[in-house]
Amino acid sequence: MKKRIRMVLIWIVILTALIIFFKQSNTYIQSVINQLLCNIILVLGLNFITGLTGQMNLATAGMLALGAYTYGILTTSAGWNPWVALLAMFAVGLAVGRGLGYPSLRLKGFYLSLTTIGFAEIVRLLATNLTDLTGGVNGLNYIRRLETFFYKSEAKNDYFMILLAFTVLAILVAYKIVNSKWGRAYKAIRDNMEAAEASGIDISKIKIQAFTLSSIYSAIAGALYAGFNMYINPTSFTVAASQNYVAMLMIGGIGSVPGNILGATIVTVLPELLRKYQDYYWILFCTICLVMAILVPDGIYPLLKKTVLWLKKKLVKKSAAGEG
Amino acid sequence: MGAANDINVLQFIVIGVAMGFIYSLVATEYTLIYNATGLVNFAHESFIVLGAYLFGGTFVRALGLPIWLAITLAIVSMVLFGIFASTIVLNPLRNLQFVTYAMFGTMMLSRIIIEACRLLWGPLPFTVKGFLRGSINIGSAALPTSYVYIIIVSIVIVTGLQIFFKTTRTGKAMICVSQNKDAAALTGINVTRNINITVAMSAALCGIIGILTAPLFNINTGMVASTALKGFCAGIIGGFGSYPGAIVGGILVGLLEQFGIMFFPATYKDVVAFGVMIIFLLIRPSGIIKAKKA
Amino acid sequence: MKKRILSIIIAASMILTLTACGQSTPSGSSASASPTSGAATGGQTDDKVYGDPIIIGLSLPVTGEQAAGGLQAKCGAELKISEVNEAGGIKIGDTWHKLEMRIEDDQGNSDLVLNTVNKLASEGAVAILGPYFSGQAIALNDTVKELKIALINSCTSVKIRELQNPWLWRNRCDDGINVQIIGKAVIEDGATKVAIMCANDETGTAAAEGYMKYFDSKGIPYHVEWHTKSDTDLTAQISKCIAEGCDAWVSSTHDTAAVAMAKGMYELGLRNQKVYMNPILAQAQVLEMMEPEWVEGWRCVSDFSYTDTREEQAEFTKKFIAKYNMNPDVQGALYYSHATVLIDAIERAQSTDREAIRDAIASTNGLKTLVGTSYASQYTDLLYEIGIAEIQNLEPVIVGSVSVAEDYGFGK
Repeated sequence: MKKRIRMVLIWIVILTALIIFFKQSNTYIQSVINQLLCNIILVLGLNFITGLTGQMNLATAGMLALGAYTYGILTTSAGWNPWVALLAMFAVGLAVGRGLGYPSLRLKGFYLSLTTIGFAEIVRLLATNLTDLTGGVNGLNYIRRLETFFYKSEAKNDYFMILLAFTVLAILVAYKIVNSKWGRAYKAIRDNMEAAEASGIDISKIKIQAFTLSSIYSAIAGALYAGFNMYINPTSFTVAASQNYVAMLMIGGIGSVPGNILGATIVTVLPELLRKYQDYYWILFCTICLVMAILVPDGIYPLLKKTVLWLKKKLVKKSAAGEG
Repeated sequence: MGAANDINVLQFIVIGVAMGFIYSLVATEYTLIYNATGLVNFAHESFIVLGAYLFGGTFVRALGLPIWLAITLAIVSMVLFGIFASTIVLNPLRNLQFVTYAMFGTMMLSRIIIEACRLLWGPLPFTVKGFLRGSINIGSAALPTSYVYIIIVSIVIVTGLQIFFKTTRTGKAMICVSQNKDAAALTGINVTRNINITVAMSAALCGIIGILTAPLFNINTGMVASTALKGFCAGIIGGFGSYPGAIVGGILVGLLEQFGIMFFPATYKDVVAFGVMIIFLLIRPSGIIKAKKA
Repeated sequence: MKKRILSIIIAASMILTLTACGQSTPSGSSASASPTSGAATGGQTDDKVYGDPIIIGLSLPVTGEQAAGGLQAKCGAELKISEVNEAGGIKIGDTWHKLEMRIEDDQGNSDLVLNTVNKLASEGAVAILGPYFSGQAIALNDTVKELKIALINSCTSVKIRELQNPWLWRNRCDDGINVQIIGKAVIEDGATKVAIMCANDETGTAAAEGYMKYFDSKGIPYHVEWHTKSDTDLTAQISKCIAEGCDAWVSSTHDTAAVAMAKGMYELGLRNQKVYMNPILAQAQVLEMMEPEWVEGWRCVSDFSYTDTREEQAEFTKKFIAKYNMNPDVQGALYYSHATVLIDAIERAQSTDREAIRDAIASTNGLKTLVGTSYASQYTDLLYEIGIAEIQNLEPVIVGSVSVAEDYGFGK
């Protein structure tokens, strides 16, 4: 009970600090923070497949595109209420999850990653060429935002509150899943598929479940992303973007929710911080990623955890030695 | 109109076979690395681009060397670069715990090399004037010279590789390493050195692909983006891990693409390779020529 | 142990990056108001009183696909700004102000452009030149309204004017006007059946629709073929057009496909064709990749050519080459002109307030720039004329110029 209260208090403190920081920042920082929140939700979803279950998924941008375009088309041409359109995201997630999940049963490793690339490219091509439906290269404009009767976002960046609410929800749900029976089953599949099967885990069901979860997260992230700028066009959903999301996962720390948040933050914010290097900021960023991939492949978060533990042990030793 | 249509068909076939050979070469170069290390080199696109830039940017335009010398030096540079990349990046990556880590590492390597190309040679695309330009007239059809050269060079390389694997010691050692690293090490083969040599060969092959495609796509950082992806598809279709499979798969993709243009809107051309690959993955994942290693 | 050291190093470098970032973003450092401050830049010896520099923001692709175009644009704007600074800057009231150019890389991406524009605005930019792509401009629709900051760019999509956004401006003929000019030229050249070869991106699709409407209205038959702007092989499309009996070609496409089209047409045996294209044909990076015989005699609409011998244009070319060691092309000239319009607006507004500057841009009337005479419509459009260039020996030579400004009610 005490621990529960402590967690809730910590959450309240963090969120309040974040809201205050946001309100007094300039529009540039606000814009980056809003993009960061969308990215966090996406990476949490990606974690279920690539982080936990160990299947390389490069279709994230495609899944995001499907969510964004479905939401966009429903709220513009079809005139749906944004919240109802949001519900449709679950349907999209289920469909995509099944669609990608079944092939993943027969394919692994490189074959699967190539299929996901193919999927994402086909989505992008359709979005570019089906002009009557998607607006084609000119994109989809005047997408409606999610609005609640007690909070309307006037300025574009005020969408922050809605994004924050969804992000917190996504984090809590992800945390629950990662530490549950499901999460352990995912990790078992990644570490040793034969052993997992031998211990009675239904591999097929779990893999499809992981894909479905990931797709639902991506679809919702897509709806939020579309609502943020109220405009989307196909050039945002490239294979390079998918690689960025994988980078967020890898650098932060696969498998763990704090790791995902950390990774999303680093990959979203670091290029912005490096802008002062002008021409060289992109190659700098990619080099840092590569070095981390080789030296710290598990990500930064596990490393931080180990450091904290090591420091704790040292302190305990010190106090023990002091008393002795 | 009938004669014009005949010319069209011949042209389509030649272009299809030539592009097919390009895809085959791409499939071959990454199969080399895969068989040796178990890694899929997502950075292969950047190797190709680097080869093209070295050839066109440095040796021909900056130093003004004759074409044959530029080609030789470009290939030599790529060999050296391959050894360098293998030592610094690919060998460490292959020892990581999960294959996803290595894939991610090669993706980042790809971006670094491409950005380096932009910084070293500037963002403006360029071309090598007069290199493999013009067309050869066969009957009433005009076949671009570059495609003819691609076919000839590809056949030479592919045959050469087969001879290399069957007859030379290094080649046979590479086959051993690809089948069973531990057994190979036990028989006294230096696995790490072998991998370095394999990567160097793959890099050289990438360089050749870059030189051959320079007149087709012009030298710029995005020149082989979709080609590299279609090369992946070709390898899977033909039989992943097998060299004959790479050739069969490549030519099949090349031809199907051209025929696709005749019936579908040309803008969907790039999807043909993916579509065919997905079909194969669903009904016959081991490809046309069943590979020994899946 | 190794991993712990590593984690400490990583943590330390992250902290360093954060602190370094905090220090390095300059926030419009104010030049001292002493009379001698002018001597630091350009060596004026008159006693001008200087105030804070005026910040002009640029959002362009520095990295990414269109880095080449972005580079030309940056150089064009920079040249104009440095010319004005050398002459002492801009006088507002009694104080003079130097111009400070700040450029941010948006990689041509519709998401990053939100960050760059927000960043430049929060650093005090009074207006922004850019972005490079029309899709990016559309993405900025709400942002510029909220930030109340004006944009001047070369984005030609007609969709931008449909937004009716008082903050979005372009100092270039839109695609609709280009289509009419080209359509007219092709018919006058004696075409009986026109091949329309367009890329399936925003400019291409809009252009193709425009061409089809125009030729329909004139009773000229045509045949349409599509391609992707990054296609490197257009022989299929070209063969189909030949089979259809086309004797003239109009095209709206981009770099790679333009080269592919020229190469393909030559390799299929076509010579001395009537070909009219969008301005891409005259751009340096595209001509670089062509062989002379492919495009000899081809024509395009073009805002500028470095071979132009008229006084103002030749002078600009000379200065550009001297400073940047490369020929200026269309984007270089355009952004030089965008900067001209902006600086004129600031001088007329006599203020660094963004709304005042926007209002001044909106009242531009008859300003002569390098690429033509600018008149402000109610929304978005500033320029209604363009030149016709013919490629001769891989050089674009201006052979004529067409203006529809009068159709819009200007310049009478």
